[in-house]
Amino acid sequence: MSETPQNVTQLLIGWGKGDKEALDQLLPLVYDELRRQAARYLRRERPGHTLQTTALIHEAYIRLVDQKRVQWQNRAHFFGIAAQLMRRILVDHARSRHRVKRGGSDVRVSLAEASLTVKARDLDVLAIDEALDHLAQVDERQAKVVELRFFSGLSVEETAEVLQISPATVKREWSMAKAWLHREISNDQS
Amino acid sequence: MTRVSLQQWQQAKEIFTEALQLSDAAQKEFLDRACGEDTALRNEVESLLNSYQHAASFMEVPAVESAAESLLNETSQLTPGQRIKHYEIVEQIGEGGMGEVYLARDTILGRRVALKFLPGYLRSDPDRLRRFQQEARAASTLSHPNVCVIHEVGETDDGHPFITMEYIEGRTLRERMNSGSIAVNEALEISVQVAEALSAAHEAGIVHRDIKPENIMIRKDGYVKVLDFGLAKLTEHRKPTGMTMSTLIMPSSPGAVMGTAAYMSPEQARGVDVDARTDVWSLGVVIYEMIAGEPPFVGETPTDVVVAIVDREPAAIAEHLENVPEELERIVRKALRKDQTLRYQFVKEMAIDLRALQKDLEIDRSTAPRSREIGSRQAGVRKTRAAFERTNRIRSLGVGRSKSLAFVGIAIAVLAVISITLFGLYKWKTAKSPAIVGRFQRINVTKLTTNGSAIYAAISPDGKYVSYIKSEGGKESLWLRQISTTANVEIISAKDGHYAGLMFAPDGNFIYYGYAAPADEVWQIYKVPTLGVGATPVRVNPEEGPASISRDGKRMAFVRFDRTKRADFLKVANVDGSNEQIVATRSWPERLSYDISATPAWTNNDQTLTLAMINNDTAGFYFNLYEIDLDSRAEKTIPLAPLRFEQPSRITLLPDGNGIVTSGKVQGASFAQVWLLGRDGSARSITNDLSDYRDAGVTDDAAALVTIQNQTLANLFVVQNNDVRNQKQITFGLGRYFDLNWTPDNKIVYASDASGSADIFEINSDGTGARQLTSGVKRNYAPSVSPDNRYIVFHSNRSGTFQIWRTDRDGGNPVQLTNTTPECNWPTFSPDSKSVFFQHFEPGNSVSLWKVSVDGGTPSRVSPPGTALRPVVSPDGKWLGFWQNDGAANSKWRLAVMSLETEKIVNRFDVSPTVHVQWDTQLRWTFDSRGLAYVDTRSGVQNLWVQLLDGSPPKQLTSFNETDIFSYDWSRTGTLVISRGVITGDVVLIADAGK
Repeated sequence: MSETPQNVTQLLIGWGKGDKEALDQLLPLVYDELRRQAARYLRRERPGHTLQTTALIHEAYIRLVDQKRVQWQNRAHFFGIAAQLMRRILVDHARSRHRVKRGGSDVRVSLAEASLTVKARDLDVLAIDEALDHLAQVDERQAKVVELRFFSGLSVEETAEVLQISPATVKREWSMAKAWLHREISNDQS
Repeated sequence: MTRVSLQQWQQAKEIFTEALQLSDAAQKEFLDRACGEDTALRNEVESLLNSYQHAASFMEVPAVESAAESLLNETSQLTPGQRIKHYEIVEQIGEGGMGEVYLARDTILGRRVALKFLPGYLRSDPDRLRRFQQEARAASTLSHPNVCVIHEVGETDDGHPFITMEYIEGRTLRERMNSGSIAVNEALEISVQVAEALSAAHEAGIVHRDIKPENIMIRKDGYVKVLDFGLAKLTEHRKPTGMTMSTLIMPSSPGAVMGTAAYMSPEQARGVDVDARTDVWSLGVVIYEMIAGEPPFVGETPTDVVVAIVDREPAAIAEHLENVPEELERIVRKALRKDQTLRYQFVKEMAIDLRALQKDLEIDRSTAPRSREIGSRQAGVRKTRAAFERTNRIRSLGVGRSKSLAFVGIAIAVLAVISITLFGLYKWKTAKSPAIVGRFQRINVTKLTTNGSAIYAAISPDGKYVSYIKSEGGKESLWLRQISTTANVEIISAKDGHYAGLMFAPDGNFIYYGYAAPADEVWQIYKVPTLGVGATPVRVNPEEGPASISRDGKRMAFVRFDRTKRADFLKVANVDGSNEQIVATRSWPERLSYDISATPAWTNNDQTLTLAMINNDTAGFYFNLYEIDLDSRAEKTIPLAPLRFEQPSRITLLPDGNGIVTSGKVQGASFAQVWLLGRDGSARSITNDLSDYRDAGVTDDAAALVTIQNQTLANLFVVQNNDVRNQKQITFGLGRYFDLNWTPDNKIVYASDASGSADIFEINSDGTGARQLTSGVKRNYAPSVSPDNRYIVFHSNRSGTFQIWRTDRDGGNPVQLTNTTPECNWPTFSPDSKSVFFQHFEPGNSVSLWKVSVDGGTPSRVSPPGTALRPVVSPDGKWLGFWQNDGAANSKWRLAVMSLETEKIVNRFDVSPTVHVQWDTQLRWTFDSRGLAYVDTRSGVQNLWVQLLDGSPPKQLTSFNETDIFSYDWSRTGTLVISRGVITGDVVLIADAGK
C-alpha cells in the first residue's frame, strides 16, 4: 500500500496526458481498492438502501491518489475510470451468479438470492451492459452518462461535473438512454 | 437493432427530447410537424416515447449494491505475530458462540488488549451487524472501573468487524463458583461491584441483557469487571413476536444454553421488550447462585427452566444455607419479582441496599478500620490532568488552570449525591429555556479516531468531513477524514510547532487554523483548501490567531493577547487581513478568551459576536457568555450562574441563534464536558461521563458535533538503580497517580482522584495496603510528608481556594496553614519539619515562593524577584530547588538552587528547550541530594533527566521509549517510584439522535 498512491498518481497524470498504457496499469489498482471499499461499505448500509457510490469512489480516490500532486480535473478522470470499473465488476459478478443459477456446480445459493437477486437485478445488469455497448457505438456520450449514473451511482450533478456538460444535458441524455435501452432489452427478451 | 446514421440519431434525439416536454395531444401535433414525411424517424421517436413511458423505474436504482454484496470474504484464523491494524496477535484466548477472542498487543499504546471477532453467521446480517456496532460503540463510551473497557470498534482492512477490549487477567465468576463456595461477604463485594457497573451503564442508556457468571470477571486483586455490555442484543431477534426463549437461538453447547436460560428474566423468556430492570433480575439470580450454590430456577431442559422462571417462586436462600442475613434474602426477593414494576426500579437502589448490608455486616464483625481500606480499588479511574496540561501547553491563561485539576471517583454514594444535585440543577435550568430543549437530548457517539493522539477537531458545515490535529512524537499534523468512510488524508504532514483553532470556512472549501512555529509565541492564521488540491497553506493575516470566519466568509474575528499592555483585544478584519478593527478590550484579569483555541462565534447575520468571557473573583476564574453588536458596539453579558464554568473551548452558535455549544468544565466537577448553553443563561450537558472533552465543533444544521475525548491510563512502577529494565509494576488497572512522595516509613503517598474527589492516599512500595488518608468532596493534592513522619502537608480547596493544609500522618486533625489569595500550592517541608515552603500565586499572575511555620502564622517570602515554581528541599536539608525565570515576557526557565542557610541563590542552570515548564511541572531531588531531576520530552517521549549540582551537562536517567511520566520520587535509598501511562485523545462524532 505504501507505494501505491505514488503509482496511481503517476499513472493518473500519465493517462491525463494521453498515455493509454497508463490506463491499463491503473485499472487493476483501482479495481482492488474499489473491491475493498465495496466490501466495507456493504456492511455499513442498511438493506434496501442505495450504496453511496460517490462516497465509495471518493474514498478510493482519497486512499489511492496523492492529492497534492494532481489537478482538480484528474478527479473527473478518476471518476470516469471508476465508473468503467464498477461496470466491469458488476458485470463479472452478474455473470458468475448467472452461471450459478443455471446449474453451476457446488456454489451454494440461498433461495432468496437465486429467485430474487439473480433474476431481477443481475439479468438487468447483463442485458444493460450488452445494450450499452450498442448504444456507445451510436452515442458515446449517452452511454457514458449511463455508465456513470447506473453503474457508478453518480447523481446528475456529479455526472455533469465528470463529463463537463450541463446537468440539463445529462438529464436529456439520461431520458433518451433509458427509453432506448429499455426498448432494446424488452425487444431482446420478447 | 437497426443501424442509424449519426444524423438520424441526432434528429431523433432532438425530437424525442422536445416531445417529452409536451402533453399527449400537443405531442402528436409536434411529431406531425417535426417528422414530416419521414416515417422511419417518426416510428423511431414514437417507439422511444412509448418505451420511455414504461421505463419510469428502469435503471433508477444503481446496480452497484448487488456487486458489493458479492465481495464479502470470510476471515481466517489468526496466528501469533500476525497484525490486525496496529494490533499484534499474541495468542487465541477464546472461541465460542460469540466468536474468536485473541490476546493482542496494541503496538501504538504498548498495552495488551483482548481482540474479539464476530462469528461468521452473525456477520452476514448487515442489519444485525449495524446494531452490534451501534451497541458496541455506545458501550465503548462507558467509563467505569467495573466495566470492561471497549477500546475500539473497528474493521480489518478487508472489512471484518472486531472490537478490542481491556485485557483482564483473572477468572470468571463461573470459574470462581466452580472452585468452591463463596461466603456472604465475598458475594456482597462482587455483587456491589457488578451493581455499580450496571448502574453506570443504565445511566448511559445501555442495558446489559446477559448478566451471568460467565460475563463477570474477577481479577486477582478482587476487582470485578463486567464484560460484553450490549453485545447480547446481537444474538436476539429484533422482534421476537410469538417466540419464546429469544436468547436461546444461539448455536452453542447445551450447557451454555442452559446457562443463559437460568439468568433470563421473565420478560426475556416471554420475548417481550426488556429494559434495565432485566439486569436487576439477572443480578438477583447471580447473587442467589453465589450464596445458595445453585441458581433459583432450574430444570431438566431449557424449556423447564423457562417455565420455572415465568411461573414459580424460588426457594428461600435459607433453604440452601444457614444463617443467611434476612436483609440479603429480602434484596434478592425484590430483584426476582416477576412483575417488573415490583422489582428494584433502578439497579442503583439495589447497589445501595447491598452496600448498606455490607457495611452492617462489617460493623457486626467490628472490623471497620479508621482509614478506609481500599485495596487497589482506585484503579479504573481515568483522565484529565495531563489532557488539560496538553491544552495548557497551548498556553495563555497561566493561572486559571490551577483550578482545573479534575477528578472522578468510584465512591458511588458521593458521586450519586453530586450527580443528583447537578442533574437537578440542569433540569431546573433547562425547564426555563426553550432555546436548548430538543437538541442533543439523545445522542449517538462514534469514535472517529482510535490511536489516541488527536488534540483538536472541527467538522465541515455540511457534516461530511472532519479535520483534526494529531500530535505524535512531539510533532503535529493536520488530517482530513471523510465521515461516511474511513478515508483519512494527511493535509499537512507532521512538523514541529503547534496547531490550534481548526475551523472550516462557511462554504466548506477551506480549513482555517492557527499555527505557532517552534519556540514562537506568535500564532499565525493560515488556510488550506479542504479537498483535492496540493496547495501550500496560505498565511492570511499578520496578526495573532486563530480566527473565526464570518458566515458570509468575508471577515474574521479573533482575540489578541497583549502581554505588555496586559489586555485582550477582540478584533475583526477582512479575511485578507485588511481593515483590522478593535471592537472590544478587556484588561487582565478579565479576559476575552480562555486560550488561543477558544474562538468567538458569529451570528447568522454576521451582526453579533458571541464569546466566552473569563471573569475572576475570589473563588477563581470562570466564564460567562458575552455578546457584542458590531454596528452599535452594544455589549451584553449573559451570566451562566448558578453554574460556574471553566475552560471554555471555541463557541459555536446553533442555527436558531439561541443555542451555543462549547466544551467546558463546571467548577468542582471532574471533567470538562460538551455543553449546550442558552442565550438565556440556561445550560445542559450533552456529554456526561468520565471522559474529559475538549473542543467542540458543530455542523450548520446542528445534527452533529465533533469533540476530542481524552482519557488517562496510568500505573505505579518501582525501579531499582534508575534502570528501567528492572521496573516492577505495583498497581494494575486504569489509575491516576499524581504527586508521588516517598515517606520516611517507606510508603508512597500520592494524590489520586479515585474517590469522587481528589484525595491523598498511601500505598506500600509493593503495591499492597492502599489507604485513603483524606476524604470529602473537595480537592486535595500535592502531599508532602514531614521528615519526622508526623504530618502531611498538601494543597486543598476545602476553604474555597487552594491553600496549604496540614494533617496528622494518618490524615486526621486537618489544620489550614495559609489563607492568602488567590492561592497557594505545592508545599514541602524544611529539613527540621518546622516550616513549610510553598508556591504562592499572587494577584496579578506572578508566582513566588514563601514559607510558613508548620503551626501556621504569617508566611514570609523566600524567593527573589521574578517567577519561581515548585519548591523542593534536598534530602540532606541544605538546598531549596525550584523553577525560576526573571518574570519578563518570553524569558527562559532555569533551575535555581538556593542555600537554606543563607536564603541566597547559589546556582542557576539552563535546561533544554524540550523541557516544558508550567505551573505544575514537577521537580525532585535525587536521593543523594546531588542533583535535581525533571521530565524532558524528546520526540514525544518523556524521560527523567538530572542536573547535577556540579554544573556538568544534564544526564538522562531513564530510558523509556514510550508513554508519559505523571510523577516520580526516590526513596531514601534510591529506589524510584514512577507513575507512567498514556493520555489518549480521540475524535468523537456526536450525532443528535433526535434529528
